[in-house]
Amino acid sequence: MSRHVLAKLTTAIVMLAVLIIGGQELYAHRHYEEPVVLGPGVTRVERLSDYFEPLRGTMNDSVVYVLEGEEEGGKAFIFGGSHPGEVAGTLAAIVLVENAVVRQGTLYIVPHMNRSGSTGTQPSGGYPLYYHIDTAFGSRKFRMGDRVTHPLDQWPDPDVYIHYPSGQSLSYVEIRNSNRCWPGRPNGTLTEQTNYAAMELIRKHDVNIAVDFHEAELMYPVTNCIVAPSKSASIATMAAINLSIDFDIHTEPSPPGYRGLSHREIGDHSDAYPFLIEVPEPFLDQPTGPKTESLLLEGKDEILMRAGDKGLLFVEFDESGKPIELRVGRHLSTTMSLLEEWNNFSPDLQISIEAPDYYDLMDNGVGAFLRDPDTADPSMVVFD
Amino acid sequence: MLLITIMYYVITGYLAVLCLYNFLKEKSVQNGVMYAIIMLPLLLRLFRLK
Repeated sequence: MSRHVLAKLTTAIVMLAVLIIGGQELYAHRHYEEPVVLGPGVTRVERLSDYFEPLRGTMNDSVVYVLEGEEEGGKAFIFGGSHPGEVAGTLAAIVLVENAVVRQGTLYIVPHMNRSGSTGTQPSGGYPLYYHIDTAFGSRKFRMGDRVTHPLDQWPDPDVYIHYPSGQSLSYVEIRNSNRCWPGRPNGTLTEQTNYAAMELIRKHDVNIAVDFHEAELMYPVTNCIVAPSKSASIATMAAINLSIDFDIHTEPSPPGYRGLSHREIGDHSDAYPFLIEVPEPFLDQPTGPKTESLLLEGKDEILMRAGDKGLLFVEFDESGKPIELRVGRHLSTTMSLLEEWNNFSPDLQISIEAPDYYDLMDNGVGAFLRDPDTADPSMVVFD
Repeated sequence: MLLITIMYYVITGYLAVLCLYNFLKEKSVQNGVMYAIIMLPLLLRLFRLK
């Protein structure tokens, strides 16, 4: 056997090994089913396809958890995972599902708004495939995701994405970005159809409030805030004022000229009052160290610290980092503050819930509010 | 699956075959490794892994 044939054979064997071993991990990640334990407040479990049948059986047929109070009241649609790499959004939604009790009104909760996006990670990003939350019963494993719909579910992208219905031109990849595809349409792409299903849920149930959980880079100005359109601004402002004694938060106006985002389109295409909450996630920033699970969950990074020393960050950042309990806690407290202000705004449509807040999360960690799927009654465990 | 998606998978398959052909024909070890590396993402897409 000549030298170059031997070298080619070796190369082929190595590449096959990489393809098989790596491919198995990617396949396992894409098909990993996350367990969610139904908490005491959950009264019904649905799917987005219940609101738009063509979604049934697709990767984006996400689970909708319904928590109905004893008394009738207002309705809130709360969702995380529009950008699956912003894990505090998904975790905050899951904490609500597993712990919240609704006294009055109804919550519709979707932890994985863009479920497809959670089945892959950012190409060339070097992301961990999973992250683990420590609990008293061991660790619970969750899928790490990308920002956009997986290309295996929606491909190819056009050169330019034309937003429906505004006609605004956006970057090609935004056609797979759930938070640029609102309000969606029934004959659109998978991402647009998913958002359309959510809009059908909002319209069918006359949802009053929509809350979209996100995370943002520390080098990005729109973080530590509630983004709200003019119709929601007074509620958002009062909520932020009330929260300011707990943590740094402000409001940002939803720009009328920037189309496709939940805080713009949900309000324009339904009677609901939309809010988008941003918390800081150091993992998302570009100049960081390696993208590890530790960075994702602890939010500590020396390079970002140096960026902070040079005044390049939009939030305070020190050795304590931005741990996951801080980010999830902010989402929960901000949501409850928004609901309180909604109740003041609309006394006839009260939404009253009991759920862990920022201080509960900071004192006990996220794991204290996750249930054990292995010991739960199997009928109370949903695999998403 | 949309027609354009099917067409893109066909294009991807064609490119993978071209890379494989060049890999087999190539005498230089370095270039051979290069073709193998280029083929990897094409194969990951064809096998619907990434």
